[in-house]
Formats: sequence, C-alpha cells, structure tokens
Amino acid sequence: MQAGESDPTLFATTRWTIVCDAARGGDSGAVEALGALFRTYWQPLYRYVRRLGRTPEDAEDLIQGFFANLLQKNGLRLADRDRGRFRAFLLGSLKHYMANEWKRDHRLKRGGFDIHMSIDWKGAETGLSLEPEDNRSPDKLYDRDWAMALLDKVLDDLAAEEEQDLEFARWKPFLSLSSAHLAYAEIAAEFGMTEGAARVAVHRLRKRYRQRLREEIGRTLAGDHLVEEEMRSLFAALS
Amino acid sequence: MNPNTPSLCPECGKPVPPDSQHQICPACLMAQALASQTAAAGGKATAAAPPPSPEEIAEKFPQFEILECLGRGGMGVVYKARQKSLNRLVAIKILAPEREHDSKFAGRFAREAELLAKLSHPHIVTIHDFGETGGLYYLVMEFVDGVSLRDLLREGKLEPKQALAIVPEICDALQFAHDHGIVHRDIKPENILLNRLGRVKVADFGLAKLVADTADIEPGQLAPTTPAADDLTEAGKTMGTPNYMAPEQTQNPEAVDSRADIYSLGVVFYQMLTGELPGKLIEAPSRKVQIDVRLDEVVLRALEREPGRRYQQVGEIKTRMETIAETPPAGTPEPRFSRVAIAGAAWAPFFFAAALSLARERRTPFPEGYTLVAQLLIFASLAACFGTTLLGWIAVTQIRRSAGKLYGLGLAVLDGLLFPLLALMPCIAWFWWWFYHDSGIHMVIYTSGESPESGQAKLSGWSLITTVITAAVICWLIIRRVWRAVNKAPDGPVSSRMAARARVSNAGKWKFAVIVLVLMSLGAGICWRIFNVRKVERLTQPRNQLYTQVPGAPPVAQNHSFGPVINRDVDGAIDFDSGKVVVLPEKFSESNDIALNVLNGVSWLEHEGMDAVTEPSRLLKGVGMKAKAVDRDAWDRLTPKQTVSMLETIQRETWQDLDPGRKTDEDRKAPVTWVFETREGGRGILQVLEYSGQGVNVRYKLIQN
Repeated sequence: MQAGESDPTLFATTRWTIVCDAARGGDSGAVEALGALFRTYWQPLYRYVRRLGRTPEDAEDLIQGFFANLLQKNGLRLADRDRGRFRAFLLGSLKHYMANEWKRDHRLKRGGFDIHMSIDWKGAETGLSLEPEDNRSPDKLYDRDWAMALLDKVLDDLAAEEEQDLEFARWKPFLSLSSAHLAYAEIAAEFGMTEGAARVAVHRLRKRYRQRLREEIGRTLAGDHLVEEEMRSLFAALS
Repeated sequence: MNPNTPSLCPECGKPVPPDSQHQICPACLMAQALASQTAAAGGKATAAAPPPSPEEIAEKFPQFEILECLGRGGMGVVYKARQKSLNRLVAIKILAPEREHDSKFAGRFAREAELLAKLSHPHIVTIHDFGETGGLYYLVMEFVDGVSLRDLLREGKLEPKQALAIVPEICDALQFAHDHGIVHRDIKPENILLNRLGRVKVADFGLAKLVADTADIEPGQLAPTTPAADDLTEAGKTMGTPNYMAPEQTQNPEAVDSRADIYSLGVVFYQMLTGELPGKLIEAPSRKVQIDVRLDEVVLRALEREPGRRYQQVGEIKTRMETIAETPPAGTPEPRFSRVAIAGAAWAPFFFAAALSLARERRTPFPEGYTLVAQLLIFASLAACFGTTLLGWIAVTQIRRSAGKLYGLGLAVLDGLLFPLLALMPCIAWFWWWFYHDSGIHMVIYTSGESPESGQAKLSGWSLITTVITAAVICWLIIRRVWRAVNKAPDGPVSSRMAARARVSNAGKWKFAVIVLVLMSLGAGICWRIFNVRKVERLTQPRNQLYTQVPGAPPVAQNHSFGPVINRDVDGAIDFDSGKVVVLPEKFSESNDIALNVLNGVSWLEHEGMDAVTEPSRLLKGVGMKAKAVDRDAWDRLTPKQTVSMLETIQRETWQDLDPGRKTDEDRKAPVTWVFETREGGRGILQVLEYSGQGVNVRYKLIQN
C-alpha cells in the first residue's frame, strides 16, 4: 500500500457517504476518492473472504469484482448504508455481492476486471498465514483487520507529514504508551533535548495522531458524533 | 524488527501482531487515542500508581495528623487530616506525583493557589494553605463533612426539590468565582460537596486549569476516578465518559471562559433531575420527570453548544429559577374563555328564533306543514332552553375548578339562569293577570262610568307595571344569590391570587347585569305580547278555538227541502241563519293593525253569530263557514240531500272569500254560487249577485228541517 500517493484533495475530509453519492453521479474526483478509501480498507475484505475458505485466486477475483461492482452506478445503494458506517457497509455489500453478482461476473469476466488499482495481494496473504489461532468469527476478525488497517493508514499519513520535523519511525512507539510508562528523561537523553522539550514533542505528536485518527474514522462515518462509538467498537475489536 | 518473533508491547505486555505494518501494539495505540476523552477502567488506558498510604504521607506532613484517605480525586489523592496547631479538621489534597519534575509548575501552582485563596465564600471550599514537600505538591483545604453529589447520584436521581435547592447555591459559588476572574473548568458531581447541614460546597476551583497547563496533559485529562467509572459502565462498553466538559473545552481550549462552567452546571443539573447524562439528542427533563416545564428552558439553555447562546452569567440561572419558583406552576397557558359557556350562550338565541317563528305563524312544530328537517331544527332549537341551562352550570363548575385557567363566569351564570328566569316570567305575568282580572281587584280599579275599554286598558297598564317590577326584583334577587354562591372560593388549596382571578371584575359584573336585564325585559315583552293577543278574546269570552260551532248539525232527513229564498243587501255583516244584517262597529276599522282588526273582527262576528262580512275589503267573506263554489245552475239543480253530502267533505275555514273578485263588469253581473254551512249548522245555497251602493246583494236558501 502506498499512502500519500493518491491525492483526492477535494475529498480529503469528506464523508464516504458524500463521496459515494458523487461517485455515483460520475464525478471522477469522487471516484478517485472512493478508490482511495478502497485502497485503505481492501485488506480486511480480502482476509475475510480468505477466512471463509476461498482460495487466494478466488479471493483476488472476488475483491476486484466487488470493487468494480461498487464503482458502477448501481452498486452503492442507499439502502446499504449501515447506520453510516463504511466498515459495516463494505462488509455487508461484499456479502451481498458474494451471494448474488459474483457468480455471474465470475463466469463472464474471469481474470479481466476493469480496475485501476494496485493491490498487494501477497502482502495480505503473508499476514494471514502468520495469524495465531483465533476462535472469533470472520466478521469479528474483519473488524479487527479494519482497525489495524485504519491505524496503519493513520501512522502512514503521520509519517508522511512528520518527515520534516522528526524521525517519525523513532518517535512513533511513544504513541502507544501512556504517561506512566514514558520516561521523559531517557527520551530527552536519547534525542538530545531537554526533558521539557521531550514532553512537548511527545504531546504534540500525540495530539496530531489523535487528530488524524479521528479524521480518518470520521471519513468512514456519516457524522462526527459517531466517532466515539466507532473508536470504542474498534478498540473492542482489537482487544 | 523480526517479523517472525513477535515483540511485546511495553504498555500492555501482549505480543504485537505481526501483520501490523508499523509494529506498534494496535490496541494500545487505539487506547491512547481514546484516553483523551475518557476515563478508563482497567489496565489498558493510563494506569495510575496506587495512592500513598496515610502512613507514607504522614511523615511528609508533621504539622498534620493524617486520619484517613478520603479518596482519589481528579488531580490527586485527598486525605482527611487534623491540623494540630488549630485542632481543626482539614482535607489535604496531594497532587499527582507526575507533576513533580516540572519547574514551571511550581510557579504556576503558587500563583493559582493565591488566587484560589481569595475565594472566600460560604459555598466554596476554602483553601487554607498550599506548598510542596518532599516532592509532593499539596493543598490544604476546608474539610467538608458530608457527601459529594456523585454519592447522591449513585443512589439514584435526586428529588427535583433537592436539585432545585442545590443548583442556586452552586450558582452563587460560581458567580462569586467568575466575578473574581476564576473559571472552575471542572464542574462535575465529584466536585460538588454537601455537608451535613445540606450546604453546598464547590471544590477544586481552577485546579483544572492549573494542572492542564503542563506540557503533556490536555486540559481536562484526568486520571481515572474509580467511582465515576463504576457509575457509568454500561453493558457492552468497557469505558465510561462522564463528560461534563463544554464542547469548547475539548475543541478549543484557549477560548474557554466562564460560560464553560455554565455548560457543566447544565450537565450536572440535567443529571440531578433525570438521573442520566444528556445524550446527543437532549431530551427535555420535564418529559422524564415531573417538574415544571419552565425548568426545561433553563437546563437546555445552559446546555447550548455555542457559548454565546447559553446564559452569559451564572447568576441569571439562579434568578430565573427563583422566578419560576415564585410564579404559579405550569400556569403558562393563557387563561382562556370557557368554551362551554360560549356554546350555551350561542344555543340560546335559537330558542327565541324558533319560538318566535312558531308564535308568529301560530303553529305547533308537529307534522302538517313542516319538513322533517325543519321539525328537527325546531326541536333542537327549543331544546336550547334545557341545553343552555345545563351547559351554563357545567361551565360554572369547570371555571370554578380550573383555578384561574378558565374565565367567563358571568356568561356561564347567564346561560344557567336565562331560561329558568324566562320560564318564571309567564308565571309572574299570569299571576298578575289573574290578580287584576279575576281576583276582584278590578272592581276596585274600575271607576264608575268608565267604559269597559278604558277600564281594560287601565288594568292592562297596572298588570304590566307590576309584572315588570316584580320580575325585575325577583330576577335581581336570584341572580345576586347565585352569583355569590358561585363566587365563593372553590374547594382545594388555591392561592388567593388564583381565587381572585376566578372572580369577574366589577366592570364585568355590571356588563353581565345589563345583559341579563335586557334579556329579561325581552322575555317579559314576549310574554306580554302573547297575552295581549289573547286579550282580545277576553274582551268577550275566553275561547280555545278560533271558531266555535253550535254542537252538532242535525242530520238531514229524506224529505227535507229548501226554505224560502232570502235576498239581502250586505254592507257590514250578515247572519244567514237569522237573516240579520248589521253594520260593523267602528272600532274594527280604526286600528292600524290589520291583524288585530281581523282577529278582533272575527271574535266579534262570531259572538254575534255573523256568518259573512263585507269589511274590510268590501268583498264578501265568510266567517267560520264551510263553503264551496258550485256552478250557476246548481242553484236550481241541487237537492238538499246532495247539498248536505257535498258539505260533509268540505273543511270549515275561519276566513273564506265568498267573492273571488270580479274584474270586468261582465263578471260583476254574473252571480257566484256556493253551497254553505254556517257555524250554527244552517246549510244552504248562496248566490252573490251584484255590488251596489249599499254593498253586496246576495240571495240564499236554507235547508228546512
């Protein structure tokens, strides 16, 4: 996945619902934005399909077909909006697609879907096979994958932004630590700054991270008031 | 990092999932994002070190005797202690040790503590002292022996009365602080204490700002408060959010001012009343709890997301609540006029209309001449006499019970009394009529030599006067009595103000009296009119019918024949039975009232036995006769038997044209022939011959018995 490559600036902070509507209307910028969303979140879908027992080839096929179907005008029906959550919407649409259209498309277009997306299928596979035993349902695991994809995306975005200021790769582990476990003195020593500066830096980074995260989640929801709830659900999925 | 050997997360200790791109524990990452808004229960969010025990603290505070740990507060831990020098109980709050190493913090802390020490107010927890000892920053505060609002809320929601008593005291505290330029920033139930006397004490003023200005804590970020987390854990969620902070505190901390406290107060108020925190869609408290609707406005306005739309001063809230408490509860709907009274009043005129129309046409509302719809209408209108009365009294009861919400007592009483009093009028009039005409008084009133007519007029005058006077007096007495009874204070605890509102003002009373008298006069006048008409009949004899008949026309035997032909000139009236012709008395042509004339005339004629008359139009008219036109040669052709059988099918009429009016001279010369029967039973054939200077020339022959 290449973060930052796509730049649907028009829709950077717009909700997926609006983007969908615009994409349905044929707006090419919106289609791009929708593509960006897919690029972020295709992996959970792929893994979901794999966990259902499909072969990697079938899974590839299915995901490509699904996206193609979504980008077509009749794919994004209003009725599918699961309380404004893109996450649930995607999964629901995928299930629907699998039950109905895929069989048809599969027969017709084996291997020849008209998608302009670069997808790292192998990467998805790798992660899959290394997963520990997990008794949870594919749906729950999908949520977990989604959360991880989301976090990865956010960190990628931060990395792209922060390259000028900090070595993000060295600072990013602090984002998962609470104040109790942060030894500011050591950080200060390691990075050659005063403790106060270290605190400030960490604080700033955290703030940016939180902001990014909320934004990213907000993009997948119909309204800002749902962000809290979504965060909690994702956290629950990750635990 | 080697993707094959999973590393452990330093925060939670669990292995980091290998498929995460950045190799950071995603759970903790997410938790950190959440921690800015929430206080977490359990180990995943910011873990806190356990508070030092009283023994550990005691050594740092030799001047105090540490008694017990009261609990973990927002900023740190609170201990109950006894100040040895003054032998008083205090509370010592130790700020969380994370702050220890910040040099700037010390200075800020000192400044803040000085400011807070200025807040000397009965409802604010006083700061006695502050300092730093052995690496710990501490505050010595007034000890409040009681409970926090959180404790009360944990037991369930408060009684609205209690909530309404607490909030104004909080307002006092906040207003005082705001006046001194201090914003609390952290109003929540944990910070609102109530001592054993029930007095409110607001604690932790300004500490949120103090603590928040350090580098790595966002304003309002708090270490977990265990009691709060217990309260607000909901099924299915692992974290609770007691979010008392105003929206601008999270979004734009720099712009926070005293109005943020107002928001927080609003949240606390809401929670006190309903037991719940306001959700995203705030439901009006009065919908959940039995409280005055006007309080909704107070709470909701305090909870406005835009600071500019909230109350701008805390004192306003207190004032508003006091106003609400003083004015009558839920009395906001404008008092309205009783609809029942209006309905009753509207119905009444129908009665008069129906009654008048019937009286004028001298008809009964029974079949003959009225369609079904008309009959129903008339009955409904006549029913008004009962309907209006009933509605009137119902309205009176309603108004009395409404405690000021309904008015219009005057109209209601009017409705209730109108028809009963009207019904009284005829009784009074009748009484006086009898008194003057039949009881013998008239003997006294008549002076000798007076003509009967003027005597009658005098009697009528007297009876009218006395009727009116008596009617007015009786009506007045009744109305006054009823009015007094109705205006007595209704049952139940009603404030004097409300009872006063239920009474009609003096001006209204006079209006009411005038209306009543007008209607009474109307009623009396109507009754009078009806009697006046009847008066004519009493000139001679009371009659129940418009025409009388000498009992039974004798049957006709076979051998009856016609009597002699009688020829007369009629200029006045004629009696066929006797052949008498009379001139009409002058009085019957004097009056301008034709109706009266006719009626008068008919009476007189009947009394005199007259059968036909040429007044007033000079055409011959039958009075109380049966008559049917026949062709001219019937005069010769008809036998008595045929005449009688014809007459059997004919209706008797009060007033009959015997001469339809001839327009041409030709007509005038041709006779009109009738078979007739008089009231006395005289039957025969009549011919109207011609008009002359002496009136109408007629000839007739009667059947002889």
